[in-house]
Amino acid sequence: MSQAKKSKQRKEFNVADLDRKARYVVLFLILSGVFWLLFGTLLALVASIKMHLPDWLGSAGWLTFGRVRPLHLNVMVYGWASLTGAGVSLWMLSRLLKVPIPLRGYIIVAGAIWNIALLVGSIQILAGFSRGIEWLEFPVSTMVVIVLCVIIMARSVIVMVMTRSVKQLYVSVWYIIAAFVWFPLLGLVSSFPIFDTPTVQAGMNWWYAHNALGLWFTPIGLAAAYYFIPKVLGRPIYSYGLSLLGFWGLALFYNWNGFHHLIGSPLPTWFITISIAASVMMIIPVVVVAVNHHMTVVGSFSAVTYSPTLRFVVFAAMSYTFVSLQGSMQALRSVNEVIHFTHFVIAHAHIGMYAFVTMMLFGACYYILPRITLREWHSKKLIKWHFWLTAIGIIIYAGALQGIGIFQGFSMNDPDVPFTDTVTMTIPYLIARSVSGILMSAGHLIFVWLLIRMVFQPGEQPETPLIWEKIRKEFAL
Amino acid sequence: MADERYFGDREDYQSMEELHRAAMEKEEQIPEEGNERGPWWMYVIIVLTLAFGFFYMGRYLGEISDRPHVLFAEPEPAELEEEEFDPMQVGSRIYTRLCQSCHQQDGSGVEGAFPPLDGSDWVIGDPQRPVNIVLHGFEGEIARNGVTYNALMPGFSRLVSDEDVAAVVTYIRNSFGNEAPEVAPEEVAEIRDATQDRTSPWTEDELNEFIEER
Amino acid sequence: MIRYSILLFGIIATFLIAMFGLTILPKIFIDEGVKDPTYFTPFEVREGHRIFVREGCIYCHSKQTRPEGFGADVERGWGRASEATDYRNLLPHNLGTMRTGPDLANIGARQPGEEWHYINLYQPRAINEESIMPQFPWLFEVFSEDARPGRDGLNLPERFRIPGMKILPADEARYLVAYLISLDQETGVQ
Repeated sequence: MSQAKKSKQRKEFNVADLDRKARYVVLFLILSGVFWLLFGTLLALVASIKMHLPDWLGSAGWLTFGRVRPLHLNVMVYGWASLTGAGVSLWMLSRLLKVPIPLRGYIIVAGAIWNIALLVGSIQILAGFSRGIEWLEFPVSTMVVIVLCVIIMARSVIVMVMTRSVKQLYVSVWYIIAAFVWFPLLGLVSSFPIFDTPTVQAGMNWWYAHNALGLWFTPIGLAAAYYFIPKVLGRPIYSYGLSLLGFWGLALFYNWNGFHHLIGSPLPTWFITISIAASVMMIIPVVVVAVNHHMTVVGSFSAVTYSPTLRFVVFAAMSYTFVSLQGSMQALRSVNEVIHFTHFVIAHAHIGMYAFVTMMLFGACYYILPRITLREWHSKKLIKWHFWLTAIGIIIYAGALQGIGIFQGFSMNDPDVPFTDTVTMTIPYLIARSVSGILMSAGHLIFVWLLIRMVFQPGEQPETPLIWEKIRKEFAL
Repeated sequence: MADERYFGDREDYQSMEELHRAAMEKEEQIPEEGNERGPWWMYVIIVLTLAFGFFYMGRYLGEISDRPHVLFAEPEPAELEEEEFDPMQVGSRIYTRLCQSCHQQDGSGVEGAFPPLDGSDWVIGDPQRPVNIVLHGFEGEIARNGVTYNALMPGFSRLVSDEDVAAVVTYIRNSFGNEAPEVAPEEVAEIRDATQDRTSPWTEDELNEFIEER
Repeated sequence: MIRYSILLFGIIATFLIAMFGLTILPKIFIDEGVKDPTYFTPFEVREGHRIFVREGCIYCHSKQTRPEGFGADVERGWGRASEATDYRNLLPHNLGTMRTGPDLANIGARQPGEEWHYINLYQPRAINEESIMPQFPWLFEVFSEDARPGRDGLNLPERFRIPGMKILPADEARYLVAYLISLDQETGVQ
């Protein structure tokens, strides 16, 4: 019987069938993600405004900066980026391997449990039960539940690879498999109670935190870039060899980066040196991937005017190159001496998680959702607004905080400057950060509005679909 | 503006769903990757990065042990070279680091919590008092300008040298509108010697008694 | 299938090697010199550490000092460079990566006065007009002037007082301050 089942699964599926089967799973994961995006945005605004108006909402314990800020990070990381990223990955995988997403019921249940875990975790952090480790503030029990949910999804990934009806594994598939293997392992190791010496725990902390970005979000983001760029342009990826080099470079070097967050800390010097060297080595996969993407797009840049997907994806891919090269620089001791402990690093993390990962996911959503819902985005204009509000928002964010971060660092390293001055000098830039936050929030609200109109259809469907307008053979939306 | 070569006419489709389906049916597969070699400068970057990475590891690995800060173990002796000692400048630096958080940048203190230094008779009077308080701290009630203060000030004897104490006391005696003679490091050394057994902060009575005895 | 196996093997191998290198190996190197089951931490300090974690102090205050010649931590009077043995048995680790506020690794030596900490926690603007630290009024209790005779309320500047009331630190504030004052790398209570 299983034999019969197998042969049935191996039949050729056409794209429309695949997307129809993916509809509810992917839609559920993306919508959950977007819910947490909104919640996280609200937390971000509260935290940001509290930085220059410290007494605002000051008497409520559960709204203090030290609880809202970590919750913002956790909600964005494990809510928005992880859930949406998982949905986008499963959809891409189904398309690339030409098999429908298997075990869909399990995935939906896992997604639901994941959402509940996030809700419980949020209450835990606001109520003061944070684990107190950056990037791992959810208590271990909550974190383990989330990891188990990812494992359930990883099972679908493996089944898809085993039952695929194409021979070649496209480069996006490598990244997605890697992400779904790495993240559960990371989560489980970080939950193991063997790191019971504070400094050892600090090492584990930053090994984990850096790898959560490097081994979970980066592979998903790059997989999306490798998928959508050639897909939208109808042009082949520049070089298979470079794809290979980029992937294995990332696998080899990114793993070792974590300790560059601990330069100057009481951990053994030689571990830190290894991490710095590995961070510099990251230049190799980053440059290779950048060349590969650039040479694929080059000559067709005008396509970004037609395709919202491509616009977001190209912005995100450029941000990835920028933020990674910046990261390699920051790891060097002489640079780190200045920018460590300042707002510069905060901005750096946001370029990574926002300008790269979040923008990539937005781009993916604009491509995927019309196909799985068989409905259309309502307004091209609003999509443009979404792009420019978020893009300009993150650019102001990064410019303001990295600009002042450098001065803050130099002042902090000058013992003749009173410490208070290193705080007061940043205030105007913290206000600029709040302004940029408002821009990005407005962009998110537009995105949510478009999404609601598409999925829940309050109001008419548009007469002329976007996919229809200005479409060219080589620039299919 | 339909591209008719691609989808046909809008009218051919009954619903948006049908149209989407048709569009997806005609979606192109991702074309097979090219196999370009990439520009030459990319290989230059790869080689240089590898070279730098290995050089960095070799140069800064330090020792394979559990010791942190290996690369910074010995402070550079060059910094110890004699430079001109300006008590006001050194004192201002120390004041910013150690005193300002309570007594404030302008020496006005915090009313009811930390006594002011501007116009204080203890600061501009007998230098033994401020020197003693900087060395060993102060606790207990004290009235200043009609306000009673009751706070604990820590002693800084193990954090600062005689020169530093002399400088910071000179600084507070000549700032915030105060004016009083300089204090020499020798005087501080003398007081430090005389009070070396002291482990707790001064109280007002103890300090007065000590000053009277001398 | 062979390619798939190689892929999966590579993915897991690169991960495990790095995991060993950056988590297990440091544990092997550090644990022995630091672990000391007999090391005693008073109850107040442990509770204070819990509150320190709960209120998220670490997102603005690092708790590690860098060596001389790297940054200006020593010159600023924040104490000597931290060693692994300065961190013994209070988890989570609280090394921190941000200095919106000053480093706290030696705050107990710099600022041993409880009163200062109480005022600073109740309303940081009472001590430093330009501080952007949050206030923590929920660690304090408000009584009318005549309640609890013998205990003086916080010496707040006029504009932060509540007329007819006095503010006393609750247990949580006392624990937190006990923890902060214990942060002194010379005496080594962590």
